[in-house]
Amino acid sequence: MVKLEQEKRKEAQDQLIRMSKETVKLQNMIAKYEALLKDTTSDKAKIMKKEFDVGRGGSRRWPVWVVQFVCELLVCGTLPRTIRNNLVIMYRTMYDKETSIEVLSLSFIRECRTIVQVVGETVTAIKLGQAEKWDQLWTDATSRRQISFQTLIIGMLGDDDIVDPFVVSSRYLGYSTHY
Amino acid sequence: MWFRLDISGTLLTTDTCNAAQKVRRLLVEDIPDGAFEMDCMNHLRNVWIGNMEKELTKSLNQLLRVSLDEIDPRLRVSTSCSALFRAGWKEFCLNANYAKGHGALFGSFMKEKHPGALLLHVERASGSRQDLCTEGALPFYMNYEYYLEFLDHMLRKKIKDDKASILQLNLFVALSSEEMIALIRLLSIIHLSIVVPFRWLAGKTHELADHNWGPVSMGHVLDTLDKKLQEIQQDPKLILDETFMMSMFDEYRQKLPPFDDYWELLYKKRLMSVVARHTGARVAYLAQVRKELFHPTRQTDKDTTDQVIALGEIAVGRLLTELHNPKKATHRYLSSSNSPVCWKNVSDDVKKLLYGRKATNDEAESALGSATHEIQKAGRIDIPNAAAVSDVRRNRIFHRSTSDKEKDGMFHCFEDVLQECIMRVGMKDAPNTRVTNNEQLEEQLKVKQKKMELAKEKNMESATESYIDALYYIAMYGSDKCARDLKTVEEILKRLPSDAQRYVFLKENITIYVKGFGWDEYKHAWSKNGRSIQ
Repeated sequence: MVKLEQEKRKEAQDQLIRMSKETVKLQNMIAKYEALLKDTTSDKAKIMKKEFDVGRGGSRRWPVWVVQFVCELLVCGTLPRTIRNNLVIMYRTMYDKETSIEVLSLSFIRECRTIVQVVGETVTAIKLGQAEKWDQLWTDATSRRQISFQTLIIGMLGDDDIVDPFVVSSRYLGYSTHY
Repeated sequence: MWFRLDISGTLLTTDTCNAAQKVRRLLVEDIPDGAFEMDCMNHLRNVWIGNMEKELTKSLNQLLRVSLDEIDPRLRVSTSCSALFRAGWKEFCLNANYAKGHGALFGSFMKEKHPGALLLHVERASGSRQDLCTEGALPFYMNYEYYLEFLDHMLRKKIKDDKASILQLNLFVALSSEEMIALIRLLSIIHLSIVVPFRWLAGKTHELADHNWGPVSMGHVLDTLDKKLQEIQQDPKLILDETFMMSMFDEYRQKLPPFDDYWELLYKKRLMSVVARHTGARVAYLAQVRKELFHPTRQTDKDTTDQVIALGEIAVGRLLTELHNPKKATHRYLSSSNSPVCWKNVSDDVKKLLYGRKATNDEAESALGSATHEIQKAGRIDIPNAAAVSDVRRNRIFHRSTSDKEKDGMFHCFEDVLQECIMRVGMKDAPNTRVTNNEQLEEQLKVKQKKMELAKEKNMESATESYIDALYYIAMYGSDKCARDLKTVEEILKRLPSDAQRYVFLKENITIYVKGFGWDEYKHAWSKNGRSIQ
């Protein structure tokens, strides 16, 4: 009899432990879903609004994520005049929320191409700095709109022993025979 | 961790233009541990082929001079096959992008009249296409009978006040010439036997390191080509010998299995749908083209045989001239030139060192092409901006992977803080970069202006000299040194004791009219190769 009671108690205890583990799992899951829900609703949603520039008095500028977004769209081949609407559509679709009254100006979007130029040159410099050897160089020049420009490409041998080209720059030619 | 950058053994590749070669030479001189330089093999090939086409056009112009004079000049008929292929693209391209063409009508005509026919796509001829003269020949050779039938059908239509299309008349006249068909047949043979294998070997060189193949190996291919062309020159009939022509580069098929696979793909596996056949029939079209080229079934093609041989002799002669001209870039890659960069003189170590490198300048051409596309797309965009957008795309800096097989671009591999930092640098530096861009443009325009002024000054100097000369000779016209009628000339010539004096007298009198009065039609060459003609 005693043995039977002991076995029953042990079973009840095991059951209790199992249930408490399940409860913890469930609570974790709820917490996770709550966090996800918060991410997609309001708390962590990025604010599409100009922010004050630190140390520059009252001047305001677009946050970095907006500029990066514009730059990525430009590089993807999106036309500048369509970016403003694309951004608003995506923002409203993803966050289900209105954007601020301010919208990106077309001239700002066009100017972002220069930011692409600086970012491109910076990343290229990092890539070339990391390279141990430049295996091949290509160069060529042409003229467009009666202006000469040239390109320089540097190739580095990859792991597969095939040269991997990286465009270093395509810039105006200071002096040229292509006039 | 910082590494010492090693640029010894770097291969510099450019096209064959003088400016590019100079840049390359200067760069090689600046690399202390030694670098190698090479011309783009695609450019080299296109230069020979382009000049070969000019030679063929010239020969046909001489041959057909009388017939060409009889054709209305408004139709702009010429013996240039590039011009013919451009006209054909406008008229027959099924994309129907040219407003005055009839590609859409031609498509429906083919579906109705020739279902099941093999219709090769006409080669794109918009923009600059260096290899158009041979690549464009294949569809013309295979389709010309359909083209003529369609043109005949279109030109017979008589609608009141509807003038016949000049484009259609031009094509009809050109395509009904047997000589032009012979030219197209020859160019098609050259395309399949020389251009296609050479282009593949040049374009795939970097992928063939495992087969002991590198950019220097292209010199060996040039030696083979040279040898085979000389054989054709000895016996021009070989141009129509399928076995000889299609096995010119057979030794590389044995050496390079991927090349052999490509050959198999071209003639056995690459299929094309026939016109309007709902069964979905597909044929190995290049095998058919090859068969028609060397064993024609159409009477017109059979009749062109002698002309193809005659034109082939001219073409091969010109190709050999191009290869052996010491002033041209190709010459130094031939072993017969004995130059330090030819196949036989390059050491095995250097050959091995350059494995994996490309033998063409496609990368630079493609980068410029991509920047051009950006300029065309965006209108008044600054050139550095257009180039930057295209370069960042080509370098896949902002690329985001869409599958597990792909990697994110370099920018997204940085930590978030570094990404933000780079973006902030971009935002901060952008205004200064714009100023620098404008300064560089200004600088270039100033140089351009200065060059123009220099040219103008030089012209003025020469103009001033010419003016003084003219005044001098006009004054001579008034003196007794000038003979103003034939009788006086004869008298003076009899009076003068030597040939040298008579020569000087005649030269002065002719120069009075040429330089003094500007009668250039009487201009006479007084010397040749630095020696006077008497």
